Amino acid sequence: MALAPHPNSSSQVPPSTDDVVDEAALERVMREVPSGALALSLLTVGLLLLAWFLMYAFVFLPRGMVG
Amino acid sequence: MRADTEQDILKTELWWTALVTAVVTAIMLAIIYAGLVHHISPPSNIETIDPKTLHLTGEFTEGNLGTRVEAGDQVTSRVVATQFAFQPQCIAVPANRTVTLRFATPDVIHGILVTGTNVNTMIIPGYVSQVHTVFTKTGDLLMPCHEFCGLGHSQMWATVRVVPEDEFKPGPDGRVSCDAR
Repeated sequence: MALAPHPNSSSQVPPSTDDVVDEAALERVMREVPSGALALSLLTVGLLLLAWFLMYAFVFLPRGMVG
Repeated sequence: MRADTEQDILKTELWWTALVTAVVTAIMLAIIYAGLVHHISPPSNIETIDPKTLHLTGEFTEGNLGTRVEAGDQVTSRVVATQFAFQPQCIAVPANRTVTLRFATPDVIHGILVTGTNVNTMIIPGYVSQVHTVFTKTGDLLMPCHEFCGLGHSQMWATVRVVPEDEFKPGPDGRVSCDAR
């Protein structure tokens, strides 16, 4: 039996034009994205800053005066 | 997009700007604190010397190199950096006293660091590099050349022998060498 063509295959069926954006859903998504990026940025920068201060306190300062 | 969502994003960006500014300020304050309170500053000596004749007269002649205790109990160690060796290859310094390290080179740009310390400076032909420090831990420290100076750069290193104060005994001319003791 011949395989039925996939209904969404572009070779068989013209592309769907029903592409209306749900504005309310878009609004919800847009409102959430910055806080996710912010959380990631804060975590990354926080870890880097922590590493910097650990090196500063436990390596740099103990190595003593120079000038 | 509705206007207040744009405002939200702007507010977030402004908060982020403030946070980053605070972080950078904190780091700069930490560096200033280290400089003022702990006396950890980049070496900033500006002193010129003729690289072509430094081996002939003056401070960096071969007989004057190495560690010497000078007037006022000041410990000064002079090292010449060449392609591809430090002369002398070992200097003895006392622990827990201010030591002045002075470097010159007759040829190309070199650099040194002393492991386990904050001593780190470039040595540039035409200039004398000077670093003051206090060594707290005794033992042999490695002082490699850390600025590529040619094919032998990786073999260019010296030893800084930090000697306990009671073992640091200058000879009659004030000199201290590594192999005494």
